[in-house]
Formats: sequence, structure tokens, C-alpha cells
Amino acid sequence: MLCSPPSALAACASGYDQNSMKPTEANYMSASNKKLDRRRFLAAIASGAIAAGAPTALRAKGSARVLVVGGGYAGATVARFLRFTDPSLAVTLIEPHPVFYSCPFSNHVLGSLQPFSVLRFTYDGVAASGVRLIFEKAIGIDPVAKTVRTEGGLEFLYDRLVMAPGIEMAWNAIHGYDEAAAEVMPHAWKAGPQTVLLRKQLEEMPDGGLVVISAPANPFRCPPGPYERASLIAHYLKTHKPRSKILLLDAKEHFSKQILFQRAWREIYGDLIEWHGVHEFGPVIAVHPREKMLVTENEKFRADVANIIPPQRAARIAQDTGLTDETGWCPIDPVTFESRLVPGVHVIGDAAVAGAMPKSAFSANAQGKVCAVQVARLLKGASPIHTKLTNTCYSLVAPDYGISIAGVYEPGAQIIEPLEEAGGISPIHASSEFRRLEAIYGASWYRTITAQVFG
Amino acid sequence: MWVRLIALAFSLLFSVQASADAGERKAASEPLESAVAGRAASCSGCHTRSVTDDAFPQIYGRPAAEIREAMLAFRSGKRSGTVMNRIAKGYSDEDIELLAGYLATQGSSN
Repeated sequence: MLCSPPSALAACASGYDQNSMKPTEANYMSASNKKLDRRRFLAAIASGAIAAGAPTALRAKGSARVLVVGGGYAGATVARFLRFTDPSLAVTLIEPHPVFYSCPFSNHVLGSLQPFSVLRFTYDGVAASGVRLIFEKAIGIDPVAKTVRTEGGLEFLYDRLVMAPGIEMAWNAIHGYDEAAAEVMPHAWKAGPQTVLLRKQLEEMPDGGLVVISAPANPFRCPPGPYERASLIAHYLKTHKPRSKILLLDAKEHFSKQILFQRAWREIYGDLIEWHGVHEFGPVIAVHPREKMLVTENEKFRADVANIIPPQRAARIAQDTGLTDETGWCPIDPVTFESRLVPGVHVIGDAAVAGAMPKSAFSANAQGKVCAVQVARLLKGASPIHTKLTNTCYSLVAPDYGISIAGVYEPGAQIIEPLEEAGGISPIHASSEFRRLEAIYGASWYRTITAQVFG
Repeated sequence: MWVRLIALAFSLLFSVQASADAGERKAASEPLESAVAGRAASCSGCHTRSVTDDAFPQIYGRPAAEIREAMLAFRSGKRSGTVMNRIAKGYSDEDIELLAGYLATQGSSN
């Protein structure tokens, strides 16, 4: 591991002792490790521990380095599972924020069903699994030198790199919706201060107020998210501010679990939620933050609380390092998640073009585990596995009313494809017990997945 | 000398292969995931190794016959669930057999 500039040496020279589970102060590569011990070398080959011919053969046995960029559901999962799959791997996770706020379940906070603290997680559990954490922002990749550079000037060498950088908002795709506008009309599509801001605006809104939500066209992070958000804000309003209204302006005609949401809305919220597809008013093309005004092709809407969920693309670092294609997302090999554009670099989670898999935390977690297995195998010279992946997304419509969508997927020739005979949404006609169970399972999923990834 | 070199080469080859086989056989109880283990990756999205919520039954360390029976019953609809019927339909007999065999070896005592 190289550190540059020299002033940063103290920070990143704190080495990594893979025999204990914690980072130590010792240098990562001691001089003695670099000496080639012929007898140990031959023994190591015989035991299958070293891929013959690979550069790692010259290093001490089992000290391959994997770098992970991004500590969300995908990144934290792959980092942890790399350690679980092969404890000899030296795994480093680069993430700018030392505290993680979960976007999944944040709608429950917006609906006043859960406290904000339920979304907050530290990286202590990830660190305890032996992952070295670097709280910095990665800004560049040199795929030839196999290094990643951070904003603070640190440089990290890798044998394999896994990028899980998430999304960025396409600022000004909606005219006038830039970062400053998001402080007045929050997206809350990255959790944390934005969640707090939107929650505060809803609390301060008087009874009889108008909440307008703008939902983007596909693809975007969390397809059912805007509709679960409308549902749980409706629950809050129905309880505390019943004369209020929610207008949902959609950039598309069809959305995830649409028939289930719309039937439940009618049943539970009456006309509190009014959804308009793109054919009615046209997509939201501009906003005026000072007036909290949303402008479509045919209409103008003045909101008391405006939630703009803008078009999105893969995070800035993916755009800047040649990982994205013309769609703004990262094309990958459907078996190994290796980038089709930059060799030796894998991309998982929301940033990736995962074919039929939705951009969900469940998908990110599943991809993280499979990618960990593939990377561990590739580093040992073994061939990758061919496996199916599953996604399940729970949405809460009301406290005792949950719905879900599931899918089973398999790598195709070019992209990850769905198994048509499997998956689907919850039954359209189901007992209240069924809806209650799915509400419970949704909350259970959140508890178990966050315990697994961050606990 | 040539005979000894050839014999050495053979024994090296054989020991690498034998180690590889031993590696595969031991894989289920070793952290390095075998091809089979990777298939259970998605299951642990809900059914995690350490039970933190009893809403989702523990599947790690469960007898293979129980896993097989449950997955087949979910797939056929003989056993009703909320989401498992939809998921099980994506798994073939071979998938289920491999999964059940792997999960059975993954109890906490292993």
C-alpha cells in the first residue's frame, strides 16, 4: 500500500494485520515479507494458496488487497463478506461519512411512525469484521497503476477494486432544481439531513396544506419508494392534519406495485392521495424554489411542502473514472459484476446496470455477497460461480398494511435477467391478516438486514 | 535425475489437485465459499445467520430434508406463505438440492 503525499503517511501507514481482526500500527508490508522464501513458496503453491504466475505469488501468502469504495448497503456488505469468505484478504473500505443513515425505512420516519435514530448506524461492526475503514472521499482511479486517490491526497493500491458509490442527483435536469433548491424543496433521496428537513417541513405545515411529490422516470433508486412515501405521509396527515392533500406528479404512467398501492390508497386514504401520470399534465420540467412552485408542460402547482425526487445517475466518481456509459449508469458483467469498461474494477448496488434487478437495498446486499464470492475466487485463480439472485422489496402502505414485490434473477449473456416464472407482487385480493404479516415482515427485514450489514 | 524430476512434477501436480479437491470438500465448513455456498447469498437477505428477529425462520444448520420439503412445498403452493411461494418458483430441483445440502452444514456448531 503506497501512501502519498508523505504528509499523509501517518494516516494510512497504520497497517493492516490480517492475523488479528483489527487494524494495527505496524507497517502493512514489512521488509521480511518481501523476501522470497523458496521453501514456503513451493509449499504455498502445493497447498493451492497462491495462484501460480500471479503477482501475488511474490507477496506473503494470502495478502491480496481488495479496496471497496462506498459504505452503503452494497459496499458495507461486500467488504464484510470478503472478510467472511476469505479472512486472509486485506479489505479496505473508503467512505466519506463516518455515520450511515439508511434511506430504506426513512419513509417511516417521514410518516411519524419511527424516530430518526432508527436510521442511524456506525461502522463499528464493519470494522470489527476486520475491514479497515478510511473516512475519506474517493475521487479518482488509476486502473493501470491499480490505485484509488482520495480528496485528502491519500492513495491506495488494490489487487481488485469494488465500486459501490451509489447515486448522484441529476441537478438541473429539472430546470431550477439544484443543490440550493434541495434545501427548500428536499429530495430526501439520500437519508440524513434531508430526511430531517422534510420531516420538519411536514410538521410545520398547517392543516389543509398541500404536499406535492414529484417522481422521476425509470431507472431510479428504489422504484416503490415515492409511493411508500406518499402512503406514510398520508397516514401522518390523516391522523394529524386530515384536511391536507398529497399530489403525486409522476414522470411516467406505470410504477412499481401500482395496482396494489392505488387500491390501498382508495381503501385507506380516500382521496387524500391524488396521483397523476405523465400523460395528464406532462412531467415536471421546472421548479421555482422560493414560491415552492412545480411547473409541468400544462400546469403549475404551488406546494406548502414540495418533495422533488429528481432524475438520477451513478455517483460522480463513476462518471469521472470512465465507469459509466451514455445512460449514466455502470455496465457490468452479469456474473462477476466486473465493469465492462474498466478491467479489474467491479461495480455493485445502485450505480450498476444490474439488468432486471431493481435499485434496492436488498439487491445491493445480494449483489455484495455474490460479488465478494466472485472476487475472492478470482484472486485465488478459481473460476466465478454461476448463481441466481433474489430481490424482495417491502412497502408499508399503513401501519398494518404491507405489500411486497419479489424477483429471482440469473445472469444472461449480456445482463442479469429475470426468471419469468418466479417473483411478482403480493396478491391483489388478500386478507387483512396477510397485509398485517407483510407489514411485520417489512419491519423485520429492516432489522435483520441492518444487523447483518452494520451490526 | 530426469525420473526424479518427472516424479516431483507429478507429485506437485497431484498435491495441487488433491488440495483443490480437499478444498472443495472442506469448503462447506471453511469460510472460503464453494460454488454452492454462493447460491445461498440472497436467502440471507432475510434469513440471516444469527437470528435477530424470529419472523424469519432459521435456515442455517437446518436438516437438508426440512429445507428441501419447505422449498418444494412453497414452490408447489402446498404450503402457503406471503413471499416464499413467489421466490421458490425461481428454484429448480437441482438448486433446492444444492441449497439444502449446503445450509445443513452451516449450523453454529460447525
